[in-house]
Amino acid sequence: MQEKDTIEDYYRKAFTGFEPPPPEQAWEKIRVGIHPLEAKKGRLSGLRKNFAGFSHSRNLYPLLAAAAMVLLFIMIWFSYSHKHNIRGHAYAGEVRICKGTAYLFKVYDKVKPYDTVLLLQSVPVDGNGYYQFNGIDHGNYFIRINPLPGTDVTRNFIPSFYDQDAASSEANVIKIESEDPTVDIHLLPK
Amino acid sequence: MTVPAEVLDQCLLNEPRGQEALYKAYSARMYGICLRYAGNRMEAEDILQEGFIKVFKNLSHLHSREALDAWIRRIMVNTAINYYTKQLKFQNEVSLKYDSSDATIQEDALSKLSYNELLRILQGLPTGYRTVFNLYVIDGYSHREIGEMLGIAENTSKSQLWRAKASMKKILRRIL
Repeated sequence: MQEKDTIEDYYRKAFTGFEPPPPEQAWEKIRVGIHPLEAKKGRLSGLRKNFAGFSHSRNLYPLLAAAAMVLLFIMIWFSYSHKHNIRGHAYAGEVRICKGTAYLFKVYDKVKPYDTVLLLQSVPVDGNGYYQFNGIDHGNYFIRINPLPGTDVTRNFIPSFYDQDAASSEANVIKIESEDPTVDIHLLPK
Repeated sequence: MTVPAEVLDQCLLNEPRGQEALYKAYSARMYGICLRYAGNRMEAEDILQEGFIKVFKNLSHLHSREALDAWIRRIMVNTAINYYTKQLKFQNEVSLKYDSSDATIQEDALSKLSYNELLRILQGLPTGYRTVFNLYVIDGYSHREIGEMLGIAENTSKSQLWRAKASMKKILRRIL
């Protein structure tokens, strides 16, 4: 039969010596099949090499340095963007005092009596009665002004907390939240 | 095809380097066999992997190094047959009645088909037809041998071959 011979012969000729390229990953799968433990070790070793290659690659140094700089910048920006300043003038009566010291206390108590306080900073009050505290975190604070000893102010006024209190237990708390406050302080007369 | 004696020695010692060399020497030819017996490329890959794992695990049973080619080939064919064992269904009746609305399929017409098209026609056959066609036509087994390998009667093998070719002709007439 002509037809029978044609198909058989043609397929026989076509597929004798038929050698298509085998799938790329086939050997790897066979290797895992015959050496399962070594394949596992190989994977771990590959991971180690990749890590070593990554950490020792000189090409990555500029990239890592740039990333570190960016990270540092973000940390500094974040830290400063959440800090505040407190500024104001100190008065003796209606007049700004000339020289003295301003003290900033952190208040840890939520309600009176404010027993738990900590001195954080002290800054000079200038000749125009101006003072300023920088880099203050959110929270509750006291400010106390001490006039320069030996002046008329000290003779007539006593060191005072905001707002016109001589003792911290009676002083008003200054709350620092989202803005930089201006806090003018009036000394208590003797 | 011959592989260096040291490659076989390494394989017998279960050394991956030798095993990879043996795989590289035979993988293309064996993949060709798997593609013919399989229904698609994924199944062919499965058969190839399973076959080579059997080769490496049973290499110590090889009696003569000269027979390595035939031995590996036989393992691949058996692996392919076992892969489809559950699917193999054979119709025993031999019908010699030809569906002869048939025009002859000329060799020059067949030559227009690419390997991939020929392979697709073969892979499109039912598993039983495809297996017998491969065993008889391309791998050169006799109907008696096929009967023994597949656990079927010699005549069943003949009828499967006839049905395989009839199916192929139908497909070829449609596409040529």
